[in-house]
Amino acid sequence: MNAPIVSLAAAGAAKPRSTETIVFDSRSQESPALSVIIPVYNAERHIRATLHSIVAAGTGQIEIIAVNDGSSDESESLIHSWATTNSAQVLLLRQSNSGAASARNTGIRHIRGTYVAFLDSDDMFDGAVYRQMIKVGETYGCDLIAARAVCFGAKQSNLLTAFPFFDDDHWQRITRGRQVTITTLVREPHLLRLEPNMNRRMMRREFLDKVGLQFPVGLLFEDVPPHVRLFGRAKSIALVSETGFYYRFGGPSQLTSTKGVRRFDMIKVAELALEEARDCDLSTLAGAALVGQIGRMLYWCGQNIPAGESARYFSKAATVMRDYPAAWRHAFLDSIPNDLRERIIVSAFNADAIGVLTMMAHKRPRIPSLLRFALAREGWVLRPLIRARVEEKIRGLYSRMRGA
Amino acid sequence: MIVAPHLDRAIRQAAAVADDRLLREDIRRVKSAWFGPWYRPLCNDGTMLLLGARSGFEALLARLANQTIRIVIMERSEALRSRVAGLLGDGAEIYPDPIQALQTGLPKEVAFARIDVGSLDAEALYALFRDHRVGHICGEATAALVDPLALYRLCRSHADSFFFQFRDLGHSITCNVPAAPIEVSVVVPAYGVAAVLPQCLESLVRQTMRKLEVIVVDDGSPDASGQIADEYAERYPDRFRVIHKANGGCASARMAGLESARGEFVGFVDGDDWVEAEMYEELYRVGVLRGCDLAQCGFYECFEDGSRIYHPVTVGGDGPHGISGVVEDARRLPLMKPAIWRRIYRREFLEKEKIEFPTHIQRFDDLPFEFNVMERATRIGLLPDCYYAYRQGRAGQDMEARDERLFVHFDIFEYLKDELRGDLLSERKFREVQHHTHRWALKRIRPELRVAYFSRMARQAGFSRAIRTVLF
Repeated sequence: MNAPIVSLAAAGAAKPRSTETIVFDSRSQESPALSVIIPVYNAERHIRATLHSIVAAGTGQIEIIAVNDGSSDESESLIHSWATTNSAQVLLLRQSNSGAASARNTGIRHIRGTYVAFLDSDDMFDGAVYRQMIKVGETYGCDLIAARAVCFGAKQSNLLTAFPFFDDDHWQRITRGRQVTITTLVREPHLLRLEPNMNRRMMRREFLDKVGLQFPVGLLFEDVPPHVRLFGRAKSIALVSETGFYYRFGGPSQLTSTKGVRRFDMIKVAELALEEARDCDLSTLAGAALVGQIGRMLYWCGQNIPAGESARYFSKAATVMRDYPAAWRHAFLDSIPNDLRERIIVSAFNADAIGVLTMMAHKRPRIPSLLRFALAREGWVLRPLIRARVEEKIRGLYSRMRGA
Repeated sequence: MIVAPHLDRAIRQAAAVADDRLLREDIRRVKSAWFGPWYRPLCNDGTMLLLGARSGFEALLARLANQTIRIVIMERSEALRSRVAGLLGDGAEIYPDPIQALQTGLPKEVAFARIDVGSLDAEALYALFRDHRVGHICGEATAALVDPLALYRLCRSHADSFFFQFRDLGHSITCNVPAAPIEVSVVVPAYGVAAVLPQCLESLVRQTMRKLEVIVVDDGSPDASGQIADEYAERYPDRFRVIHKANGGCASARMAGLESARGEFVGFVDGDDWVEAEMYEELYRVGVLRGCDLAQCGFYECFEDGSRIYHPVTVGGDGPHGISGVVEDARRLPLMKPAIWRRIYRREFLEKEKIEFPTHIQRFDDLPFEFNVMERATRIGLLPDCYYAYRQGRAGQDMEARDERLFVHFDIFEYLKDELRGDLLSERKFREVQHHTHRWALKRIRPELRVAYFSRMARQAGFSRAIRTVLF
């Protein structure tokens, strides 16, 4: 690696500590069950809802560590006033602006809980589910516990518009309707198809100390390499099928939805993820799942890159993809049931078919094929529209007949 | 379907009073023996405890079958309590609180207890087992509420028999024999491994399983292996035992360990290998919860330079992707190199099938053992996780032999032929093993011995004199 990326393992020791100051500390419990770390940057709109979601079901057992990453708005005073009027256990830190990854790393240094969780400042997590996860973790001695997630639209203030998280089909395939699933990555390689979102899960602190969790600073998609590391190293993983994580979808603060050359970060992230995967000695099936996930993410980023940069992006991405062991790539194409598009993407990466990828990502599909696709997939959405249009036509004809 | 005595009468009586949804479910459960084979007669004598009244149908059925039994019911819900009281009159003692029910209403002996999933809590269960003798206990639990293995261990050590439905595991857990004092015995044959034995024994000290015993068999080792084992036995007297014997080969050492093993399951670790801390706990979990004859995990090969090759290879299980779960017939598993150390074996199974290490065979005694085990086992638990570290490239390993020592295979197959069960599937498996072993040996053996090996192979396989003449 020649990039200025802090290596995951060595980061904490090598990097000089950033200067954070303690703004407010209302923590009374010496060893709570869970520390929730919230990096905050200009989040005044949603931060109260976020904080409240954690303690809505009670304040015991959970401490909140909010790290103000040099916000220029009222976030800090909002948190401060919320914490003083609430019995929740809150530690509020301030540091000069240096990115979400750095803020998380800062938060990690202050944790006291047996378990650690992260939460973004515009998302929500049901505190009752946190408690259920703690209980499951204690019962089975799990290193990593994940909960079910749901997306909801940023513009709506209620949850009526909630829809399943992007990986919910994979989640269902793994849990098969069970309330709790205890497994390992070797037993259930499909775990690596879950979205690499750090917010929906909690980790045992000793486990984090052992694997040395640090987020690569200054990259988009910084969740991916630690995701691979955590799942690869965990001795026991629990999935709790209760909806805990509420993901705010499509808000203005969503960094990863922006278009532009920052998407090139994904290539670096794919390299880092591979490094982690090699380090964990992933099984072939788990490697296959990783290939699918990374391939999909690389392609998705390629779609959002300026058209002029596209060829350069995909040729770089294909080079990285082909660094992944051939056994994993072939195992993905052979054995794991997946959708056609993913198979095409991975095959294209395998064959270094940059032209195909660029075309797929950027050429607008022709309208008839789009319509056919929409009717086949989303027919139920279009049917009322079509019916309304037909009814309008008939009404028009009828009135013309009467007029005639 | 099971038709209990007075079934129709009980259904008619209950229909007017009981909660409809619960009643339907209870009728279905009684008819299908949902709580196991002991559930149908419910309770013939003594005291019956129901934690969670449900519809009251079970209590009514027991009351109709037997007028003399005591029925104690705990139910938190006021509405259900009054319904059950209406159904049974003063035929049952009904309490609103589990602890109160246990302390005031219950005699020391409880013949039958049934726990509903809504009433399952650890405190009540501990209180029940602390103060009472329980005959049979059954009920429904979920993996979210309780670790199935913890429940298994608790019930097995405190009740004569038990049966719990775990809807989210997709199977039930049950047992009707008393708890074994030792859950797994690990036999470690040690000969000339003094340099690496501490690593092996240290990994066995660190096992997360508590009721584990380690039997180190010092097979007349010329080096300090015996002393090292003795030191461990002194330091951890509860866990380690040492058998010193005159040198008699690996098979005799393993047999000596196997004969003195007290565990419910037996495992083997070679003196130069080591295991991960959770290996035996996880194997026991699968073996015991799913009632397996043996359970196996993956392994990794460890080379001198520290590199590792992982073998999480398992197929045919009923779990996701077929890589975990249970295999019903081991003969359908694909052939692999013998790896007896990656498993635990139910001792009862080995004894019943009289599977032993043939001491008259000088080396590769694991090949016949593996074949016999895999030919006879009916339920095998699979774990793909690699818990066993298989050291590679140590001088003096049998696997490194390239000379006449490989001729031992003919003795092995001669011996195995007599042991065969005699159906076609076993026959085929036997041919496969023979074929693979000979192919491996022919690849390894020194060139000048190859012809001799081949001709013996042909003779054993029953090639005619004419073909042999043509070949050589």
